[in-house]
Amino acid sequence: MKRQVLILDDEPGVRRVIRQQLSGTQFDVLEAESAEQAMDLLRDYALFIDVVICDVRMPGISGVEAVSYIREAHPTKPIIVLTGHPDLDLAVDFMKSGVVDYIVKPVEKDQLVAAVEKAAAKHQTFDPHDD
Amino acid sequence: MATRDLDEKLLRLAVHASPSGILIVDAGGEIVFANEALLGMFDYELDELLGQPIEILVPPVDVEIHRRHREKFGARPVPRAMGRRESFGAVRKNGEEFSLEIGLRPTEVEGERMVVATIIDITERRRIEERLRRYDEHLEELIEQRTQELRETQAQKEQVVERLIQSEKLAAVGTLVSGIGHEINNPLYMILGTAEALQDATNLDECRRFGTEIIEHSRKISSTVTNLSRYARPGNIHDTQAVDLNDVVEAAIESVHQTQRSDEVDIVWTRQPVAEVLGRPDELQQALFNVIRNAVQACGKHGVIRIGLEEHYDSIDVLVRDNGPGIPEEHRSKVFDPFFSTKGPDDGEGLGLYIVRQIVSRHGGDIKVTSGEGTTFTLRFPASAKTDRGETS
Repeated sequence: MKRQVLILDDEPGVRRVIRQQLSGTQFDVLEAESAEQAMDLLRDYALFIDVVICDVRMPGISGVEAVSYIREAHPTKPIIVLTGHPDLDLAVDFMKSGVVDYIVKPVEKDQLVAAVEKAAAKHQTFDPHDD
Repeated sequence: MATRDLDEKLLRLAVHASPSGILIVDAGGEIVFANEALLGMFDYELDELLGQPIEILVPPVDVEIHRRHREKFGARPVPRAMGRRESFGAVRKNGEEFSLEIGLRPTEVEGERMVVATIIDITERRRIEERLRRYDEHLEELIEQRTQELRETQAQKEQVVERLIQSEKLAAVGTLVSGIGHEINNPLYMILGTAEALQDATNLDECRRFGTEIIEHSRKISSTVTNLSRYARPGNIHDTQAVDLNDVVEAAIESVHQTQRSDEVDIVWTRQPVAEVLGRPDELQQALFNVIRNAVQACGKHGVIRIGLEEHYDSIDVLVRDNGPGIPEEHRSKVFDPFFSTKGPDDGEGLGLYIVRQIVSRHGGDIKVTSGEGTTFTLRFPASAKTDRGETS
């Protein structure tokens, strides 16, 4: 059975590229263009979503706030931050808050797939009923 | 006779009591009389002078020239008042030279021509004059030195301001680079992903579509980098040019969007047909950026910032109004002071508005702030002599 990755990014082009890079792998993709939409999908499909890929700069609720909300509601859900900001301080803050990876765009397909697989493996070690 | 004797005694007393030296010389230049003041002045006894040539009182180096002058005077004796010559050299018995002032009155006594000389020792006066002259020179030196110091201080201040503006600009560029990562890395990521897809593409239409997408994303990056380099380019204050403030405001708003969390703030702005100003676009952009950034930070969520341009007779105003909480009255006079800030340590070191004022001032303009419900910053710049309509004001 394929595993699910939730992409939270306001730019359709970015979501399309992530979907394309994960195509042909063991991962299927769900897309959300806002934090609100992501939270709705997580609420409805929490058990099926293995990894969340989250952007930082977004209108409305930012990536920083979105990660905070997701961590609070789904503390064991692995989150990968995928951002255009090469900001070390921001990366440290995110890692401290519990995200499993902080990747700066552009990222090649192999690197992204490896990061998602690594994150998904962490999820496997969690109790699937903790959500 | 008794009266004449008395008169003579009185006259002699008066002559010897005179503070001025009095000397009488005959037609041959021999001394026939000297009063006490003169004897004291030259340090001679009377019998040492009587019958001596007048040149005994003249410095050796001037003896010949004095003799010629005396002979010339003797040929055409006319009274000469005191002070007609600035100085006259004389020599005391001990060889010490000094300055004196002399008045000459030719006369005739019992048929013989004589000259009465009235003499004042002006050594002390010369000394005081010399001291005054030196003091005057010293004062002039002090004034020149102080003027130079002030010039240097002003030049140093200019350099500090220049460095401050440059460092603020670099800091802004640093922030811009961080913020602009999003603007570059996102399209770069889409180029990479599309190129990866292109590798797996199976038909020509797909290849063309991917190619077009790559070109579009590349152009976006190119545009971003061009804007960045235009902002970061160092320049000289003297490199001024006619600037359309509409372009400056638009570039500043774009920079604010790229560097600040301005999504929650509504920036309302429309271009206005106003005259150009003479200035440095990069500095003007930085000034506007600082003011708008302040407004964004002051507003917080749901803020509205209205930016407008107003043309007056010979000036252009840029108005930046926000609907934030306003500036307390006690802070209004300080907002342009360096290192004055009411924000936290992470929101700047309090140089933003100081730099704005420096930039506006360098452009011959003025800035003021009014605050009540919200705050309005008005930046006034002199209009360029040549307007955008090609007229001459």
